[in-house]
Amino acid sequence: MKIRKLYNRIAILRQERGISRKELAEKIGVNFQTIGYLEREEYNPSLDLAFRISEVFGLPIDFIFSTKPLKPLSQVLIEKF
Amino acid sequence: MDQKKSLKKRRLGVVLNYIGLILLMITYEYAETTAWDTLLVSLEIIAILIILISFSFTYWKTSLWQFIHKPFKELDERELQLTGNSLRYAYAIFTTIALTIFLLYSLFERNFNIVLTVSLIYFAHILPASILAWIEKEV
Repeated sequence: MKIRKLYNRIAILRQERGISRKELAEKIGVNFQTIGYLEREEYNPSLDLAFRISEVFGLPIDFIFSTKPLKPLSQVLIEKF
Repeated sequence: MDQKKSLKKRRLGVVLNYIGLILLMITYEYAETTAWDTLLVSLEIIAILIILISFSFTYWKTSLWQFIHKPFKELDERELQLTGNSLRYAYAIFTTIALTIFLLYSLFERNFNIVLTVSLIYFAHILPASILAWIEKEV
């Protein structure tokens, strides 16, 4: 089975909230290096991990992860209002 | 997993470790068929030193050795996937190489020696960590 690439907004959300990789890793229960892999989109998280990330940021899972390249947050805001 | 060494340096370490191992086996095999002399003993010592030094720098100081031997419950899902893949590749590679060596020994009617046995056990043990050292990117 060919695994699809998952795009995400983890890096931007983490920076926006001022959380370090280590802090985020502790909150979701992974090694901090795994955060690097997730942010570089080199690793697709399991559904459980994706839910844990969405719970930390308090955002819907489809706002953080997508199978298509994600638009910048500023563009999303412009389109919404 | 603490990987402070670059991928290039880690790969060089892996290659050196295997060169040391091959040198150790070949020298021992050759010495057993001929006779031990100072040069062969020196070569064996050099091979052991290469193995020890490259092991220390490539596997021990980078924590790769400790990482591959960690209990599963201490690994996260990406690390579990990583160790699972490396063990799968290691199994295939080890089986192929061990079978080739056994066939060659039987073909040339040679007896197994202690160095070959120990080298194969070491090889089986080090292989998953070698695969990780070879493929894992720097973090």
